[in-house]
Parts: sequence; C-alpha cells; structure tokens
Amino acid sequence: MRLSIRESKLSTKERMWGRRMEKKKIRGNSNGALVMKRLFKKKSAVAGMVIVALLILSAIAAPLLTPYSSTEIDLLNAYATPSLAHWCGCDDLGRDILTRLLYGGRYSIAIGVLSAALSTVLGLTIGAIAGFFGGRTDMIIMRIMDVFQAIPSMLLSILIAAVLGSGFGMTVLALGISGMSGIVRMSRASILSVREMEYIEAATAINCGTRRTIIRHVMPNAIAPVLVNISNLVSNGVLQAAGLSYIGLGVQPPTPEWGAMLTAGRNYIRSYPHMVLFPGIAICIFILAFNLFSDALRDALDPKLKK
Amino acid sequence: MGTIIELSHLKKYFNSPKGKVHAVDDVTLKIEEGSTLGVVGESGCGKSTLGRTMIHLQDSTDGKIFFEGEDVTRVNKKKLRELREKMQIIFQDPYSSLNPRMMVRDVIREPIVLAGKLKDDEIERETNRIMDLVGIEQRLRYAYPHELDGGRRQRVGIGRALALNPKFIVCDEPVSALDVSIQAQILNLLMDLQEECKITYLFVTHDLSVVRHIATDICVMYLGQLVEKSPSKELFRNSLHPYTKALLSAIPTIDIHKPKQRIALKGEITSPINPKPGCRFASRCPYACDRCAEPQKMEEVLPNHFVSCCRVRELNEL
Repeated sequence: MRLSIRESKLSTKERMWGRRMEKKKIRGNSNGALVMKRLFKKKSAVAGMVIVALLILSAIAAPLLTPYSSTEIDLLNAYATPSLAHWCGCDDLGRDILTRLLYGGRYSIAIGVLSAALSTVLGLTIGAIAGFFGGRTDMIIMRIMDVFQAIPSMLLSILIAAVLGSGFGMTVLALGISGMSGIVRMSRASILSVREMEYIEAATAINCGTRRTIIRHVMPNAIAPVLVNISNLVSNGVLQAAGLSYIGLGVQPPTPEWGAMLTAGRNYIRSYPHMVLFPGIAICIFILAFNLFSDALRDALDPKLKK
Repeated sequence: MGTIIELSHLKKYFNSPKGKVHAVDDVTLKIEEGSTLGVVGESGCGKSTLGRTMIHLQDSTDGKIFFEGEDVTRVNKKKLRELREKMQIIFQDPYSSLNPRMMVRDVIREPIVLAGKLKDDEIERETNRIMDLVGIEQRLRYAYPHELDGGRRQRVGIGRALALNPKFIVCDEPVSALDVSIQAQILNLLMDLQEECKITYLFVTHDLSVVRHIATDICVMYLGQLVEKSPSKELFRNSLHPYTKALLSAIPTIDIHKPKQRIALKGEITSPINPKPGCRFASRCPYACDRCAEPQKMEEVLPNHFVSCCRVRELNEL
C-alpha cells in the first residue's frame, strides 16, 4: 500500500475550508490575541479584572470620591463606628477609614504588584539561566538562593530595608528580592523538565539561538506553575509591606497603607473591630480578585484547555 | 553518486560517576548520496547517539566527520549554522518533539524564519509548500500539536526537518511511536520525499522489518561499535556476524510450517562503561574463544559486506 504524495495533496474544497478557518482566526500575532480572547470569555477572569480595575481606579480617583483628608487628625471622631458620615468608621485619631483605604490602595496595590513583578522578573531570569545551562552555573546560583531562602523572608526584608533605608521604593525592592528565591527555585525545576524535551533539541537543530530557545520554547512551557505563584507573591507583598511598616521600615506614617492600618487597629480589635475589619476586607477583596484573574490567565495561556 | 557523509573512527564518550560510557566507539562508515543507511541494534547500543553526533547535536569525543568531502568535525558557529541547514533530524516521539504551545504553521515556518533568507510572503508560500509536501491539510495551519493524531504530528516533525531543504536527515526511530497502519504511511512519505528531494537518510531503528523496507544499506551496532555492514538484501539473506544472526532470528514469521530456529542469547551484556578491548559481544557469543579478547577489525569479508569478527570466516565456511 503505497500512499503517493500526489494523493495526499489537497483538493480545492479543502483549501477553501482552510482559508475560511483562517479568516475566523485572528490574523497577525494570533497567539497573544487568542489568549486575550480566551481570557475575556471566562467570567471569573472578567470579574477579577473588573474588581482589580475598580480598586485601582478608586485609588487613583480617591480625592474625588471622598471629602475627607487621609492624614488630618480629627480627635472628635476618634474611634467613631460606621455611620452615614463615615461609612467605615474612623480610627484612633479620628481619620476616616474609607478615605484611608482609598488612598492606601495607591501604596498597597503598587507595593504588592511591583514587588511581585520585580521578584518574577529577577526570579525567572535567574531560574532560566540556572535551569537551562545547568552544571556549575546552576550549582552556584542555587547555593546563593539557598542562603536567601535560609533567612526567613520577613527577616530578609527587614535586613534589606535596614541596609537600603525605608520608603516606598526601598520597600518594593526589599520585598522583590525576598520573594525572588522562591520563583528561582520553581522556575528552575520546571525548566529542568522542559529542557529534556525533544523539541528543545529540535530547536537547536534548526539553528535557534540560546536566547530565542529560552524565550520561545522553554519559557512558555515552564511558566504556568510560576504564574500561579505570582498571585501569592502579590498578596504576600501587601501583607509583608504591612509588617515592615509596623516596625518602621516600610512606608512611613501617616501615609495610609492597608497593612499598616491593619496593624494599627490591632490594639483595638476587642473594642473597635471596624478598625481592622475594613482594611482586612480590602486586602481580601484585592487578593481574591487578583487570584481569580491569575488563575484564568494561566488557563488562557494553556492551549490544551482551548475550547 | 558521491559520498555525502563519512565518519572515520568517530567516538562519543559520556562521563558518568562510574567512568566513561562508550556510547559510540570507533565507528567508521560512509553514506552514499541519495541512499538510506539503516542502523539497527538493541536499546542503548548508541544508535541515536551516533545520529545526533553526526549532525552536531552533540560534540564528538574523537574521530572525524566529513560532509560532502569536507572535514566538519570541529566547526565555528557560522559554519555550524550552515551545516545544520543541510543536516536535519526527525525525532522518535512526535508528542515530545513538538512544542505544545506552537501552532503547526509556526513549527514549520520557524526554521525558514531563522534561516533569514526569505521575505515574509515567500516564507508564507514556502510554509504552504512544505505542508502540502508532507501531506498536512491547510485547515490544520492553526492547530496545536495536541489536537493532532500521532501520524499528523510526525508529519509536522518531518515538515520542520524538510523546511530548509536539507541533504541529509537523521531519522531517529521516526515510526516506532506510531501504530502499524500509520507507520506504513510515514515510511512511504519518507521514501517519496527521498525520491522527490534527493535526500539521504540515516535511519535509526530497532525494528528490523521497518529497516528492511526502507534501507539500501544496513549496519548493525552492538554497544557502540559496528559489528556488520552490508547492503540491505545481502544482510537479510546472508548475515555473517553471530550477533546479527541472533538479531535476525528474532523477527517473527507468519509461516507456521517452517518454524524458525531462534537463537537465544545467554549471558550478561558487557557494560559500556570503560569496556575492555576486544569483541564486546564475546560474553554472550556462543562461539567466543581466546582470540575474541583482542581488538576486532572491520573486514570486507564479501564484496561490500563488512564484518567485525575474528572467526567470521571459519564460522561461515568462507
């Protein structure tokens, strides 16, 4: 039974169908466009994105949304419980909590997202180098990461913040570096397994350079487990920033920041629970929405789940 | 027709904690342009390593590789790029040889894009031509590998190898992961392509019935060394090396009236780690004698029929 090439060539009908299919799909860089399309199809992803967007918008538009100042002390209203005038009540210095939450979003969200982004960029790059090249490079990098991981991340952030100083940028830097080693470890592990696949060898055979191989062939297949962890990093970032603020190394008071508000309200949790309740809810909503979004993003990036 | 690729005492050793693994040891062979050399042998005998070393996917430890008469054993980056455009590989497992996040079209066009010789619209036309050539329907352009069956995936893998119009392709067990009906299609495709594009194959396999179908010459490998090399028909009709005989006797037959004499090999396989000089098959060979402990030479026992065994003449009464 000999199947000649001529037989396997396509009929005009099949060609027509192919062309029609082509028109249906998105032209140009269809990969990225396809991911976006799949992402928007998913309800939880859209919900996550909308909530995150609303939080960010409200943080930006805070001065328009609230008549109060976020830092001005008003002792008459100290410990005020939620009312029509102060929807979330006031804190121990009489500052409107809702106002502080709105302004605080500027710092908390930025710290969480930026520090996670920093850890991811650093972690993925270093992890890719370690995993892809292996051997001595891998050993040296991983031993350094061992040192990073041996120090509790809070302590490491404190250390970095103490050395570099406090403030917004330094906090991001400290959290970014302390979150990095986990990403390095995770991306290295998944890159190690991808590196052994035959399509990596095939890439070498077709003259694909090292950098292109890593970016086009290794990364897309190794990134999924890392992607999920990024949302963890964002939430951790928000909470750790709070911890740093608490010991005076993070964002400095009276700057409103969700984590710092949480720690400030901690002392009054029995008598005035609203002081911790609302910052807690804000952190919860943000992290939940972000997780929804990142889960959906991972699914959208996986062609095997394409439906 | 001339020789397209020639190996002279090619060696590939791997380091392991216990010593050097002699994956390919002192292999000397020539492949004629437009022919197919089948490489057979049991698992772990270095067949795949031989193929990969030939096309520079792995560096050789020692020995020389000549491609179109030119010594290409050690080449610089620029030359290596040129070489790789002429030498390609088709992999065994079409599931792991295609990037799961790349669409069929991208897999096939990537080598063309990387070669950087064509403009965008030419790349598009060339991609289509290759897809037609290997029989992938145009409607599958935007399909991902997991949406295809094994045979189609293998066609995509073949398309990627063909994209640069190579002269020499290493087929590393290209059909052993496919079921039998698909195997025939892929083998026919490979043979048709050979005719149309004048490609030379090194066909690595452990499946003797497959190699019989496609190969013009066959060499038999045992633990990194060639033990016998001859034209395909000659080998199946008149195998000379004791190992080849045992290997061929393992092919099942459908003739129930003439039960085949199976040669069952006994004994331990020699370790490929730091092996002793001498015939590596000796520990399992029913005819082993003292002389087998000495290094064996590849000799032309019959015209075009090379065997590496010191007792080949007396055993076969030549």
